[in-house]
Amino acid sequence: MASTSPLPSSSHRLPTLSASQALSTSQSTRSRISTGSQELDKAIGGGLSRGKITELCGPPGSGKTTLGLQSAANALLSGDGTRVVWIDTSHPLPVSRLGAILSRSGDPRELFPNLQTIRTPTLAHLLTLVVHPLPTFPPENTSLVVIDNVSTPFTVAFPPGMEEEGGGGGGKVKTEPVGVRRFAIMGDLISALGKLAGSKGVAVLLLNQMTTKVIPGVGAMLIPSLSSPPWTTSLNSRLLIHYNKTSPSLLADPDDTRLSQIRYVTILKSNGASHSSDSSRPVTRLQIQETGVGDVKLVSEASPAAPAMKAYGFARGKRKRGLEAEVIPGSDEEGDGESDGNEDEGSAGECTSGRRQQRVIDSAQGL
Amino acid sequence: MSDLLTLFPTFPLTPPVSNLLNFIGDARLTTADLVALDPMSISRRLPSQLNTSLLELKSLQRTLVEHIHADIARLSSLPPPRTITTHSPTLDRLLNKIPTQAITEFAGESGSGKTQILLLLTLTVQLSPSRGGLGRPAVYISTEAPLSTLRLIQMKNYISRDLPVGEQPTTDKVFSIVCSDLETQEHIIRYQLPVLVQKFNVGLVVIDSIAANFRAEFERPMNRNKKLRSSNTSTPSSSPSSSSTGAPSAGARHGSQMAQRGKEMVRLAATLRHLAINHNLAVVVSNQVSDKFTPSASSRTPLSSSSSARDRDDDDDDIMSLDFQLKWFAGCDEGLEGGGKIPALGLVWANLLATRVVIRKSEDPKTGESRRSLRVAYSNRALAGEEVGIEVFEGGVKSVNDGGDECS
Repeated sequence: MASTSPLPSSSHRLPTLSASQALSTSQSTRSRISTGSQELDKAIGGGLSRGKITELCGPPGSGKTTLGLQSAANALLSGDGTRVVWIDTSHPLPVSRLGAILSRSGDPRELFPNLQTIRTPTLAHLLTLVVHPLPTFPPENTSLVVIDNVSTPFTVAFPPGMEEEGGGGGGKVKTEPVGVRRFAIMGDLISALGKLAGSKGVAVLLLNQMTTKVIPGVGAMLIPSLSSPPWTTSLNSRLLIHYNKTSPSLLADPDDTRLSQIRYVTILKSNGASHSSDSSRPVTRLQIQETGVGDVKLVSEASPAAPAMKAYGFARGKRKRGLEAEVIPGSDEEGDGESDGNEDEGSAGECTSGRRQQRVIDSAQGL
Repeated sequence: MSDLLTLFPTFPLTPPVSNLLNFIGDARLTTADLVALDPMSISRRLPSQLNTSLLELKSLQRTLVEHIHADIARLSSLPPPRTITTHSPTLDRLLNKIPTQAITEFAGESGSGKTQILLLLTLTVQLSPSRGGLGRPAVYISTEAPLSTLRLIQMKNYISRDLPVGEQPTTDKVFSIVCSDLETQEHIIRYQLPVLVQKFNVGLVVIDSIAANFRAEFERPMNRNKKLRSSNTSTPSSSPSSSSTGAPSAGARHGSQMAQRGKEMVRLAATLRHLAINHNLAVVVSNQVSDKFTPSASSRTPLSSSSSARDRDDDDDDIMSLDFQLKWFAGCDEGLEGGGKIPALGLVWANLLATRVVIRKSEDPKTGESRRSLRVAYSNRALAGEEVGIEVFEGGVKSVNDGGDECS
């Protein structure tokens, strides 16, 4: 039997916090960590919030890691020996890039000791770290924990197509389908992360990859690799970083800004409120540079940074062929509450007109 | 069989664990399950006649958690990644060199020079750390043409020109393995490669190319299925996921094949990454490209004056469609509208890479000479986007911008 250790005397008294105190702490700037893009910070209420989980998903090369590095650098630079924990599950933290980002406004050598990197190459490692945390995790004065990335361990533990061979096996012992275990473990992980964020007051940033889902009649769409109703509910903010075309005429200094460095962030959920319809989802632009994340300077600040585009949704009955061969049906299982394809024609129509309007603006400014 | 011993080969097999191990495997409990579930739920999943005491399971879980915590501490304190030079200042700057502990991919059509880069790296990895190498040997796993020894010797002679005798790379330190099918490939990478790496302190593992066996095994049968489907026109078309019917449709078979391919790729990448991290070595693979077919390539360019009919076919609608996003991470973005070439193996593989480098080959319209250009499609440690011209020469591959080091 696990011997019950005597409780420390301090825990007899419950620390109380008045509602107004709580409000002021939650609104103070110290409770937020900047992502490096002012536009994005504004859209999510001032940055990554401490005590909450923020998820950033996007296809390869969209800049997930860079945004993570920039947030880590900002947390480190906020002073007072603030610590950051970087958990890598697949590839090691690119130290040279973090150094380049830090050296923009600080001395990397002074700040690196405040960064702890932890490696969890498999799901078992990650779960052990988070679900059975050691008392030293996360260290005192940690403001940010980044997991780069949270989906690879699941991909390795539950590879595509595994659902099919589940269930049937065994024989004497009844087993549940592998897919069910996947969702259960996702639930365990996200609730442990929520507890960690809440109890230690750290901001948790999860980087999530994308997988494909075939929508009949539309084609292969990208959806976050890890997604389930409890998962999505536990997230305070969910950001989708992706590529899109940018008209060079929109840029304030086209010579300075490289189009290939511009990314779009669609805010699927911010501060607990999910933006379910496509047209209401804020979209911000940012720029991925050698020295980190920056804002994109546009010709006129008055022009809407977010065209009413359908950034994350499904088109009207349009048939698309070509890459369906690349689709892995095993990954279709995600019960993503958001990705229900039954969108009414009305809102789709609205979207189209909004986009066309934006195009007119784009082309007008080009002249 | 549980994955416990595969993941943690040093886990102590003392009585409670050794007795339970088989039952844990039969119940399909993975190590992740053992960590995540509480002892009560574990016991419920084990056969009831086993009568395992909760106390025993609790101690098993505690031992396991302690063991994994120790492993995390070991992994986290491993030495930081090192880098291998490409022997070209421009390419080194563009790629930020080739890192250890990660998988780097060079994708391009045949004759684009990707094999040349891989060959070059098998030599530069042998250079001493002060010259940009690791001072360790390389393994060259070929799945297409066998290692071109003559070319390797030519490169070696060029690189060794101004090096002292003791520091010259040698072809003795390039171990070559040929895998002609996926089964051999998997066996070699899983079981033989770790032994070789351990024995000779290998610093670089090259696979040329990663796609060949996957495409041979999974894409050819796919075509056969397609033919089968078209000849049998009476078969009602069904969605790829519905395999409940007695005779699965060609689509379902194709779907499960793609899933199988994805699974093999995930496994392969996990094995390679495990090797890369534990032995601080670099994994560099080459990938083939396939043509991308975009129906509306020409109609997409004009942004304004889109008639409603054309707007219906416009690709811009599905910003989050795979087709639309793929253009960027496949390395063919705004500069290369439409029919670019995309690296093979799809999104599952793309997600597993740290760096993807794309080499394009084009023909000069005037002279008819072929030109090659290289760019980083994405990387976690180098900035993507910039494109440089490269050329294949006696000593391997260099950038056309290098110039300077030629005179020395």
